[in-house]
Amino acid sequence: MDMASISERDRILSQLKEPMPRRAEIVENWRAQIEQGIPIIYAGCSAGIVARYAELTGIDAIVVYETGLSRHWGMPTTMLADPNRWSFPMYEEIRSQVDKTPLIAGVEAYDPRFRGERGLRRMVRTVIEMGYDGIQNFPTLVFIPPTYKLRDPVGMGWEREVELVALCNELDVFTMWYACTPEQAQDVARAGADAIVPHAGWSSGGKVGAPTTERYPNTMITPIKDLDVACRHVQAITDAARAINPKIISLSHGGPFIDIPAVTYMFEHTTTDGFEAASAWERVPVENALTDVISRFRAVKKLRKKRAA
Amino acid sequence: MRTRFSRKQILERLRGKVDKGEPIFVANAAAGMVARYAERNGADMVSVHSWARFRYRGHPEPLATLWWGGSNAMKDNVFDVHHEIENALDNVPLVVGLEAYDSLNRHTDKLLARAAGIGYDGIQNFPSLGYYKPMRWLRDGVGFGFNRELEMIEMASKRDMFTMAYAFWPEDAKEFAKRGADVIIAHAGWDTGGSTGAPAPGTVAFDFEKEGFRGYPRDLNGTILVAQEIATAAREVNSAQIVLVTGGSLNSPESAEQVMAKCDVDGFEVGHAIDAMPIEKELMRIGDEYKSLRLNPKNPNVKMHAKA
Repeated sequence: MDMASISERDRILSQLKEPMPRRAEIVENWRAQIEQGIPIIYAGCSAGIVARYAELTGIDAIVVYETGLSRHWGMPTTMLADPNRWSFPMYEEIRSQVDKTPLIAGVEAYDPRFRGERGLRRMVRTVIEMGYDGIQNFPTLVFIPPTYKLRDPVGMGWEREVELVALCNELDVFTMWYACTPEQAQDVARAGADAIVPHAGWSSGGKVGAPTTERYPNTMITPIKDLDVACRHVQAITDAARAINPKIISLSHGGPFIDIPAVTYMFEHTTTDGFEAASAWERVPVENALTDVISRFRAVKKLRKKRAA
Repeated sequence: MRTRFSRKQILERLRGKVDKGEPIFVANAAAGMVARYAERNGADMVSVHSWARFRYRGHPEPLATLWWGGSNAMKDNVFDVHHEIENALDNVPLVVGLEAYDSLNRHTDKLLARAAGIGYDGIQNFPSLGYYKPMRWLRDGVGFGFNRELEMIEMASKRDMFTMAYAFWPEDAKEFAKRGADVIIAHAGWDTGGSTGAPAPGTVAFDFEKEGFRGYPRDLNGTILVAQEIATAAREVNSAQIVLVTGGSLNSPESAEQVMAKCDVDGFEVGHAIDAMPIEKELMRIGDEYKSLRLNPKNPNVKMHAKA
């Protein structure tokens, strides 16, 4: 094979790259929408069928991550082992339903298979090469300070998640980052995140939602039960991030924010810029839709006539 | 622990419904979530098909025709998804669609043993070549056609496995009845309804019957006619034959009620109508509601307030 035919392959392949929205384009579009008072709503989608309707209703972004799969298994939202091995291959199914909506990869930054600075760059290359348009830190250690305090000394804790933001910022990859405390929000705001996602804990509500209980001290994963407390929580995180970067976008999520009335209340009582619907998109509405239609099919009670069996 | 069901136990369950004059409701589950809410809300049985996963990925219904073999080994085949579906169930029979004409599974006895061994309580001939006569003839000529579906149902029946056979033509219904199918499912063509349904009945100008093709979707009346045609034929062979109906325009509780009231079937199987259609309707509604929300005017990033 001569060199001309090798470059011919490159020439053709270069025309077959999947298009990708520029980071600045996503951010500018969202800021313009926020200026008009219209919230940014993004959806967690772990099956093609729910991604399809996120795209069709004009949801602002779609995020793909591993816990979503457990919802479609009919189970409560549960963390899965070795998450990147679950989430990366979901790309094909979700992308086949998504053309215009930014498609964000949920990435486990502290995956030991992507170790060190070189590993972190390989991780970003992997998801960008696949065709994702941005990165989010999920699963994340933001919920569990005792764990990340122990993991940070070995380089696989919260600081790792902050390093990933900084790398994406350097490479101009769009990021939206979960934060459970004002300090975490400031860490990622300093590292250059485009958006923060103030997290009010494991989503409650629906048929298999997290139990609503009072929070244990130092534990962020238990859902905040009270709407007003949850609003103050996301407001504090939002304010902390804006103190570092006034233009950072704040997209609240989790806990009691599970349906339209709760999210409406959140926008009335906080100044966050949007909302992430995950259980609120692909679990509770699907549970309700299935329950409604199946119970109505079950209610079809009569055959035309009794037959001798 | 999920309860396993013998053929006898399943038949008792189904006969009990028929004796009470109540329809048998089989839910075709594309994901654990669907299986779980099917059982919780009273479905009599859950079925698993390789095609169903495509539906759950959001793809439109007519893509089902892409299959001419190999579905027992495709990605997310019925053996792959078995665990997810069974994991969501407790006490309802679980049946599986097997591709009888799969050239990679010549030994049907092994295919049946594998299905029973993994935890399925019964089988169906899915996918089926039944609907397309020219393909049946060609493939039967090389030994991988519709005859293998008849043979699989007969073999399973002789092994005391519970069987449900899809029939598109009355003569097939008779043949399945002769070979001991416990249930025959009259097929009224691809499911209609929602943005991923088959083209609306009558909208594609083509004489499908003349081509020996019965996968085309029927309107409600056509669905009732096919159901009655299959039920009558099957019961000429076995007067006690249990007959269900699926497909076409049986795609809502309301249409199911009409079909049950207007022909002599014993129940129905639904898939597209319990996942694709209701999920589309609910998410389109909720997506629109989210888009109508507005931010707090005190938000420092809000410059002007657009009307909701």
